[in-house]
Amino acid sequence: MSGGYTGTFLKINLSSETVEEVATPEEWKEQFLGGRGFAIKYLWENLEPGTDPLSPENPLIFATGPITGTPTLNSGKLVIASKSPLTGGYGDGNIGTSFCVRLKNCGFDMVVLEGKADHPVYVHITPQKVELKDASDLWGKSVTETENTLKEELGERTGVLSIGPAGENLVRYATVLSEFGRSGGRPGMGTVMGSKNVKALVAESSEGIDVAIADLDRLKELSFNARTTLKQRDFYREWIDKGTTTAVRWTQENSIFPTYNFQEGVFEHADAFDGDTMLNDYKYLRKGCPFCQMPCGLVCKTKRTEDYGEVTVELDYENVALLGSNLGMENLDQVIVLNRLCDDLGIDTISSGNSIGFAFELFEKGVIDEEDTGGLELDFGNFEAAKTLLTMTANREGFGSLLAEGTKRMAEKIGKGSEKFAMNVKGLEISGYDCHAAPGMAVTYGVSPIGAHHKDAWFVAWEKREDWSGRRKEEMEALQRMQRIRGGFFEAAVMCRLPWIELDLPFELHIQMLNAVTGQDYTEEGLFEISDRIYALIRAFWAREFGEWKRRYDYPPERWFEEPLTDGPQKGTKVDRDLFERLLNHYYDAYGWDERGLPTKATFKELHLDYVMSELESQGIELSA
Amino acid sequence: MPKKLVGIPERCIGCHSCEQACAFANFGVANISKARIKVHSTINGELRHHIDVCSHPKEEVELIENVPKNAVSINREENKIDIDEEKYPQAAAFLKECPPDALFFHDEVPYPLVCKLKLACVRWCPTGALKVEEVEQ
Repeated sequence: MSGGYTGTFLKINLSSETVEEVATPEEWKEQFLGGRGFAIKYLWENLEPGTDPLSPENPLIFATGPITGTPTLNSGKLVIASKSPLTGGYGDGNIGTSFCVRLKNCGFDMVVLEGKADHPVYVHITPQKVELKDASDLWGKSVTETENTLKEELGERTGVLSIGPAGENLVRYATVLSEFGRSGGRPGMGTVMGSKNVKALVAESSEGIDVAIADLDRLKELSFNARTTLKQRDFYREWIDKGTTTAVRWTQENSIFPTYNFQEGVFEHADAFDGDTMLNDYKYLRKGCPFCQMPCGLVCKTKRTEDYGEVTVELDYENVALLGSNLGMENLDQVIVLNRLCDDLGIDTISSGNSIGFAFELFEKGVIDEEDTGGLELDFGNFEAAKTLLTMTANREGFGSLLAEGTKRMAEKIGKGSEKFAMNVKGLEISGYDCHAAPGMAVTYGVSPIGAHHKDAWFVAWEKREDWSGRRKEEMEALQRMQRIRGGFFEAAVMCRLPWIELDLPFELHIQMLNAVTGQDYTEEGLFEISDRIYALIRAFWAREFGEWKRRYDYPPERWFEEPLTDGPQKGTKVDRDLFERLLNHYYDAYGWDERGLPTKATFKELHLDYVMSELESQGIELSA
Repeated sequence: MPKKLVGIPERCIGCHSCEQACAFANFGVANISKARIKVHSTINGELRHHIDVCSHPKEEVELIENVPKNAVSINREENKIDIDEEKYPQAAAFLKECPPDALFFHDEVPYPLVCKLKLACVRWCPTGALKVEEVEQ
């Protein structure tokens, strides 16, 4: 028996208000597994190159994988993907919420939204029926209010994905959110949803159908072994207590804690942000995605209520780094308030922290002034200004409308050499790791399939674990392995990567679980081939959209090459440009890509992507042999 | 001594592992909609997790599962379970003890669903938010 897939995906045309059920193609399962793999395959086949990402023609995809919603631990995730309005290339993000499981129990592997509704709607999915319902009353409401209202109306056995005002107002880094602060789709997936007039998707599974599992007894046994292994790990207790905020101390010690718009890698108030402070003074509850056995959700509450009011939020390391140290804030109360604002407005915390940090630096350097900001005085540590800017951004008011464009477009508009410290790659803002002292991570951000994010490879953890000097080829092969597992397997299967990366749950065990679910005979080699195929197709998609491909598109901001750190144990350090170029060459070689970073013909052929070559060539993009 | 399943919401993380384990243990399927327990989270100012479950010993469950589901319904207005007491006096007496939120129905199952103490949920809960207590009679 085979299992894992429902065998059906849902195509909803919002313009014509039609719903179509399509059989999930067998070839897609074999070649692309699911999740991100299905998303890029769908986009490649269905998106006309050059389409405006905010036009009705851009599809928005919600793709589960074979693991999603099965009794495999940490399996409650799906991938949201589209052509990104922030980068103009491939964009995706994953999210862990009961919606993912319930969508499977409603009988669907994937949902594709096309067209544009002529008024605000939400998509109501049940196993029996799919309907577009009026959401005029919800339009303008915060994410929290939207989800509360829908759950009250539709019952507790529902999963909700929704957008906030930022998505409605087409802020280019609006995300899709769920269940109190889970947020997915950094490259503007919430923006695309807003452009379609879709406020929310609801999967209601009170009469849900069974998800077929090839060998349920075997899966149960493997999953239980996996869980036992996790609980026996030395780091388990600390992880459960502090989650991803354990990283604060480590990034600070390694001079990679983003500070003052990535000018520095150490922060003077780091102690006020670390895992111990969070645990002792702020945390009041834990939270986990569906079937999670090592919850990272840290639900925190403000401590200084007289100054900040009573605010609760789910914190994680990225939020602390980008809304805390990167903006020069002084305590976690401020981060909690800013983070909650982002979650209610439906805006990405990482890109928000970057865009505001960029504005702070521009103002401090005198590149912009009160005339540009509408009278606001900006400087690092200015909590009130950060708060005001977030709301202005989400509502696209005044100067906020510029911030809503993201750092790349901000720099283009402002000029005056500001692009050197507009901290993004391909338009996607950099997540929580400064790279002055981490050249391997600088490459990782450079080559990430969606722009600067660590999802595909949190390589800095391996980079700092050992000395790679004299072994640069091996270093980039290690990066490739990490991408194949994280960006390939976990994003396609779809499953949480944290048991593997944080608590060292063997990859082999994951493969066994996938086999128990699907009844297939996957091997590491076979899964890596699928991963390489996904990566090659994403690269090809970018090239097709851009009409060309250049090596420099994989370069991180000049700041890391030109302006050394001025503080901390790594004072004076910057990325050596020659080393960076060598690393990039090794990386491209590992994948069989040419010196521009495009797969060669031989590589495309090996990955059974012959159809991609002819299309790129017909666009005048020459391919290397 | 009879046992009952007790939820400790302060420990709950809202992960639905109990629901998955329950559906698997009772029906051998991957389908949280068939669970005899439910967790959900609300945000009224701050986030809270809730566990809805009402367990019954084997002999009670046998009687409850003899009741066709159309003879049972949830009365939301009065927040109670309505059941044909004349026809099913014993089952009605057992179900009276249950909060309505802990009684479940599914299209494919002909009877109402209550917890029957298989306890897979206790084993699978990552944070010990479910425990078994002995009931004094």
